[in-house]
Amino acid sequence: MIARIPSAPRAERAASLGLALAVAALVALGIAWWRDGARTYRRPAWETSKFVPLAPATAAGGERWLVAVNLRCPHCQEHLRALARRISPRARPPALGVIIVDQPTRPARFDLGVSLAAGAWWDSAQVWRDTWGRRVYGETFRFDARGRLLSATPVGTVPDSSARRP
Amino acid sequence: MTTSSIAPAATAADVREARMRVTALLVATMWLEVLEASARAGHTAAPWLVAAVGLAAQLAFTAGEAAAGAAAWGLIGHRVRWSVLAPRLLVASAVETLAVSVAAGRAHVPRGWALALAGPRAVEPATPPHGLAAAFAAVGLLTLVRMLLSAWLQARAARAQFGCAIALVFALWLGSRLAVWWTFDLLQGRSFQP
Repeated sequence: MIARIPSAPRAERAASLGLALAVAALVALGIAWWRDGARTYRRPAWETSKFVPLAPATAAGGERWLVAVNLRCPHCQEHLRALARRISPRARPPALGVIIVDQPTRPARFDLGVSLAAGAWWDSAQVWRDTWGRRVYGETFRFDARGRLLSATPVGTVPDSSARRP
Repeated sequence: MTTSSIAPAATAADVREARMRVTALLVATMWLEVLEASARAGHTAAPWLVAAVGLAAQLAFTAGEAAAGAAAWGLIGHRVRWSVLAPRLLVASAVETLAVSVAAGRAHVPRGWALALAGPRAVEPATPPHGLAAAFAAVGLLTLVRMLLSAWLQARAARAQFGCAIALVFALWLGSRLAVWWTFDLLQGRSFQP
């Protein structure tokens, strides 16, 4: 058996400091969570005046499905393409479009590989994040013809169906 | 002049400690097997890689939990080394391997039992809608058993009362759940809300 040296006080102090830091981090997280929960965000509504058009909408009337896309997020772009494939056989498909979010400068060019009947819109004023309080890329907003929100669904969901994979 | 030193025989405490470490090693292999089988059941591309990453995460979490536990025990006047707590926490996590098997659908138990044993994650595999659901998705009877076992092992290691140990284990567990709840909500914001 090897005699062990008792734990050094320095190690104990470091452990206590680590625990104190963890508790402080938890308290800070709780305060951030409480403040965010107390903040009032607006329910999304489709108002074209709040966004900068990058590609014109070609469809008039009917439902619009707008996907929040970040140009550095391949996952949400793949969701957009999957949605486009899923609705293309429909007799009266909804108009699919994108809101380009968390993009500080106007994108010079972009090719998302799908036809966007509801247009492509640059969220230059951070409406998606700051006014609507949204944070997850790929979220699909389903708006009616008057711009009222019908549903908001995550990646992998077809907005007007219970199917998980578009 | 010659001197000789004879190593003293191993004490019962040393044997107990060695046994605990061997048991912890066995539990680590249980984790690897359960995670690999769960990944295979979920049709993951590289189940062994998923299992290895999962085991590494489990060991890292146990190491952090042991560090927090050692510091917390020190605060209430009981000195327990990290190296004593870590294998005990890993042994207590053996109960969780059963919960993971139930949640992955490998244990073939009725839905009600799966919910009671492994928590809501066993019957609602989809992404939880909000942080509260995410934080407590794994709470079931097996979580309770794990906490009781962990408290019992820690109380013996710290030579403390069981009630004191269960309070400490619950406080650390609740802290980790609150961190998951609040982080999930902050990352998600108001996304997916109507």
